[in-house]
Amino acid sequence: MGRGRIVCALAAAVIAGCQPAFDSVDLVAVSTPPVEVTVRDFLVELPAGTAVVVATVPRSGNRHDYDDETVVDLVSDDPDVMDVFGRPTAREFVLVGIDAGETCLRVHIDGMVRDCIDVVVEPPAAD
Amino acid sequence: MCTAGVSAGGGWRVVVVWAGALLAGGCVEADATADGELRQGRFGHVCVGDGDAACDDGLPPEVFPEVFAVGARLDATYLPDDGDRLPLPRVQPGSTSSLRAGGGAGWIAARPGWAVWLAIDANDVVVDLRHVLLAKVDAIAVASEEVDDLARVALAPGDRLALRAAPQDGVGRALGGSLTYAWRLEGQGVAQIVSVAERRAIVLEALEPGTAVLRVTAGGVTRALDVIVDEPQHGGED
Repeated sequence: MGRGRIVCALAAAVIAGCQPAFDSVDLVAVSTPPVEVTVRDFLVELPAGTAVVVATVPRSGNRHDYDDETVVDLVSDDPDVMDVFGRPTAREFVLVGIDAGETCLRVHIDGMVRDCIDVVVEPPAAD
Repeated sequence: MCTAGVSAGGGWRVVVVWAGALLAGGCVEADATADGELRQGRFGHVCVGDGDAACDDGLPPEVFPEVFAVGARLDATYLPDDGDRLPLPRVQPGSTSSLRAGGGAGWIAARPGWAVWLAIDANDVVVDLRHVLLAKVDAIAVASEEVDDLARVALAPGDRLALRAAPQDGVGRALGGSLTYAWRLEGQGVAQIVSVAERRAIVLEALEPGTAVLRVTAGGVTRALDVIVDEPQHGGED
């Protein structure tokens, strides 16, 4: 390997080492639905017809944390099971159970898919 | 006739919301309001048509209904607390499996369980939301001005009685939303319905002594009521 290639490889390693490495995204419920829902970083469960507002916090696996410039987006694999709406506040989303079923909530960090959170939408719940 | 507007806001906002509701589906009104769950404004109940038991004579209720009849038409408006900017957020169901479009005004409650209204601003983001409960009609209460739920109707020939039907769920809660009502009277010679029979309220007139059965159907449930027309009393005449 030539000296140039070694320098380039070292430079790339240094640059990558300065970036956060995705570990997970925390989901924090900021609304209180009328029925019990589960909001975790690996699972969302809610009955069809209900909605919960969540705030997202991306967690880095190295010592470089995500900053406020990092763009987080949540995208449902199946909007007929769960739909996702944006909020005026960055990193907040409204998760709406549409119909009973299972799907995946894709976590996008700066446009890159980084995670898939399991989603279970249960049949409509009475009070 | 539309006779009332939105009370939870003043001035031009009332006019805008009311006019918007009219454009959306005809004669609709909103008055009773409830806080959005994100506390950014208030949702208003819209009286769609004249079959909403929560709306007395088509006028908005004093309290925002919390439970609505499956099969009923309903709608909502939203006024943000800082709503001095146009356009106002639009209101739509979170899930059209719960509240589906059915042509005409409002949305149709499609299944029992919770549904959620979303207030969405011009940037297509949700600024507020509110859940409402949808329940199957389990019973129909028939009331007069004096009695909340009549067991039977007793009249003398020539008497007229205004009756009003209201849907209830399995635990006796009054259900909001506009349903279609069908009234039928068996025993036409005994009494007759003297007002339009497809509305929630009718006027019954007693004709001749005898018995009849009055049936009202709404939301897939029928309530039958005995109508007894007694012999006229000739007080004191010999």
